[in-house]
Amino acid sequence: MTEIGPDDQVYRMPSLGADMTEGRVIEWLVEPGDHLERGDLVAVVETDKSDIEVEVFHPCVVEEFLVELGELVGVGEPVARITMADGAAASSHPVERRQPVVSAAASGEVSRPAPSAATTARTSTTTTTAVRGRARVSPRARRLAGEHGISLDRFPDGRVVTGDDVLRAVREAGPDEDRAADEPSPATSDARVEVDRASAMRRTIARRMERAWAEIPHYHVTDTLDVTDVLQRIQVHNAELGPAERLLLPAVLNVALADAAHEVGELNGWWRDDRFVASSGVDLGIVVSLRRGGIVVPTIAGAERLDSGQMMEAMRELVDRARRGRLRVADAAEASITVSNLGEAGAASVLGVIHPPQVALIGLGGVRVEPLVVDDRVEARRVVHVSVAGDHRAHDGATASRFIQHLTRRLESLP
Amino acid sequence: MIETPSGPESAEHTTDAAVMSRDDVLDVVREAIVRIAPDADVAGLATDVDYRDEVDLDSMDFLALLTALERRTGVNIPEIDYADIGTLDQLVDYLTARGAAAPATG
Repeated sequence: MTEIGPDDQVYRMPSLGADMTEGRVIEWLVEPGDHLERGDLVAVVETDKSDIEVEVFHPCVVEEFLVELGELVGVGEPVARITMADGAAASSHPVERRQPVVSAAASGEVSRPAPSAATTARTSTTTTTAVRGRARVSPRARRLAGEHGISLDRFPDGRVVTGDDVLRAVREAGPDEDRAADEPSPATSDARVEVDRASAMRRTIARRMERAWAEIPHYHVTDTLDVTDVLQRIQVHNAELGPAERLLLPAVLNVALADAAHEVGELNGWWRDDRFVASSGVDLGIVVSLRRGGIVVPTIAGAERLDSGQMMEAMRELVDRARRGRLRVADAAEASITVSNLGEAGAASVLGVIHPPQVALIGLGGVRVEPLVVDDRVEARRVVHVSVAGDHRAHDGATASRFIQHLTRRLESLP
Repeated sequence: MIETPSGPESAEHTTDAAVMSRDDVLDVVREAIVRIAPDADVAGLATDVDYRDEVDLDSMDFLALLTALERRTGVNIPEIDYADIGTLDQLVDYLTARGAAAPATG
């Protein structure tokens, strides 16, 4: 995310992944004069992979937009002028910044031009004019108003409109006005844009996979996971729960493999400058296939710390955002290992291609009923075929084998 | 920032909810499917076929559908009944028989 210090009163095009060099602002989620809290969403940035909603990490006031919608902007270039809210300027270093994005910037892939004194000086005059003559609307209020089809004109000028104000207006408006915004948006002339996006995504996948196949000497190790008992335990767990609280097998498998990746650290990290760099945490890339074709691979950071319920929650939100084409900055963080799951009804197994600079990709096939030998008897068991695609420069088949053993053991005590 | 649910789905389901007709329930079901699979021809979807297969809903999508239907009708469909809701007809019958009711607004 953007470096914002006391002398740095601009919001810059963030780096949303190591291979991003430029992006376009395709939608502003704020307006000049808006007061933002840490974490408020500012804009939607289009990258080759996905549209990403970017946020601020300090309280600030939006002053002026510096780029046109759709304009191609290099990473690190200013896109909006802002003023830090009182107190925020006192700390020269942003707190709790998203680590992976920072590291992409810090590793020299991003150069940040210093803001000119002249542009900063003009700031304060712009503020007052931008705010005068209309209601001040918090970003949450604006978003809610959009979602519920509530016109902001109904609020008097000069007062601050909060999200609660909008929700109150929604209740007063009754179900009809509300419903209008709730209808699924009709197919529009965005079809052309969708086609362009799909081909841009295809090209991104093509470049990445080409590089992977050319550079990485892959090996594959496979095994069969008996998930009969895990599925049984998930069923018991889910029996009394509403749909929003239920667990699915992929979440439980991800907990087990994040734990195994943490344990067998040789698979969890990156191949850089002819050597393996281990990752301290497990930042799990999840391959999400899109309904219109193509994939996006958002990341669940710190996956080794999540229990099954937390993993399920993270996956629900992530898949939802990925499919809507609106990822968050944290979702775009560099993964340390990736999982590709074909889904319950999918084919039996997948032997994947590693996403460089990572050194392993875990493939999970669909759930099948197969004959297995249990206690010297053949039984019909539910199984999932697991594969490890490994980078043979970084590790060997024995490492992947150890990973699968750990994964299998971990599954015995889940969820 | 906390994700805020949008639309009437977020309304609390209360006891003074209005009972829905079978047609209303079918509309609610179709609308919920469209939200999850915007590209699918849900209006043209036959009511006696396996819609999960037809619309290509994976287990995550299906759970999202059940979550939406619980919000819109107040009916919680447990896993043990999944086999009974394989077609739109079965799903709508299931929801109607269990007193599907629109959440009260206001």
